[in-house]
Amino acid sequence: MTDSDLRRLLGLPDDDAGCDAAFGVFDEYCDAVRRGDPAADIAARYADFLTHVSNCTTCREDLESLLAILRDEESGRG
Amino acid sequence: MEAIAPDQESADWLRDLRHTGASRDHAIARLHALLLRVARGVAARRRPTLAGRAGEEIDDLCVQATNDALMAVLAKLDTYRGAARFTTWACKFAIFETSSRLRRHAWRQRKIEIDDTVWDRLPDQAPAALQQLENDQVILALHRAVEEHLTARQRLIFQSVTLDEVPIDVLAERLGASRGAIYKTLHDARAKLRRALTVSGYGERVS
Repeated sequence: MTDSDLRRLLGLPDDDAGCDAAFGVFDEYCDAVRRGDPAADIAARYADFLTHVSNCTTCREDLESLLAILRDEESGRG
Repeated sequence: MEAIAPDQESADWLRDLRHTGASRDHAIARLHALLLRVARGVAARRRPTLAGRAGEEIDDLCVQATNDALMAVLAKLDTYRGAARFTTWACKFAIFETSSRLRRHAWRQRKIEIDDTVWDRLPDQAPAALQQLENDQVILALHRAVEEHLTARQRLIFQSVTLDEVPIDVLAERLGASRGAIYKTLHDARAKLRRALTVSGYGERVS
């Protein structure tokens, strides 16, 4: 079992926003990414959210869907 | 949470949706069309997990998800803070409703139960002998910690989500709990397991 397997099973030990709080900032995070805010600012502003989406496959899938929708919209495919 | 002045387009959406009469009806129709496009986009992205499902059945599901998302957006309009564009904020409801339905649909004929044979499948394929020995020890320690430190519910949720890859919203529906409550149980279980593995001498690997 690699450290990465263990991390997948046990998650990151950092502060985790949880599903409900994460849902609250999904849109803000995605718009920050869409606007091209500096990555370091985004990482600092949404640290608990990013820990959560790293730990929660279901929320990560939802986040990827929203980011994909916004990318499609920006490229005129939405 | 403090409110932020929305951009002009978002302010227009809010104004139209708060109006009465034809402009509101028109805004609702535009919003429904947007959310339906998002729902269908989500379904298209998840097509590989929906093999064998009729397109019409999936599209019905998208329409139901869109209707529920629209209701949620209208009901929560006063909670929109302006921190994101209105359309991004609204789209997350469509994604949440559609993804949850699609995941539940994909799992509808599958049982969720504790399967202890999953532990035997965990070791990497053919690692070096020393690595294999260490792997076996970590897996044994983790398996023991699961049995000794988790409650029956924590064990079911931990094993289902992390080993059997059951989506949290599917588990929430089956166990009659919210997605947030299931995740909290998983989070607490993981914290217990990290502590137990630290006590067993694997602190460096779980910190």
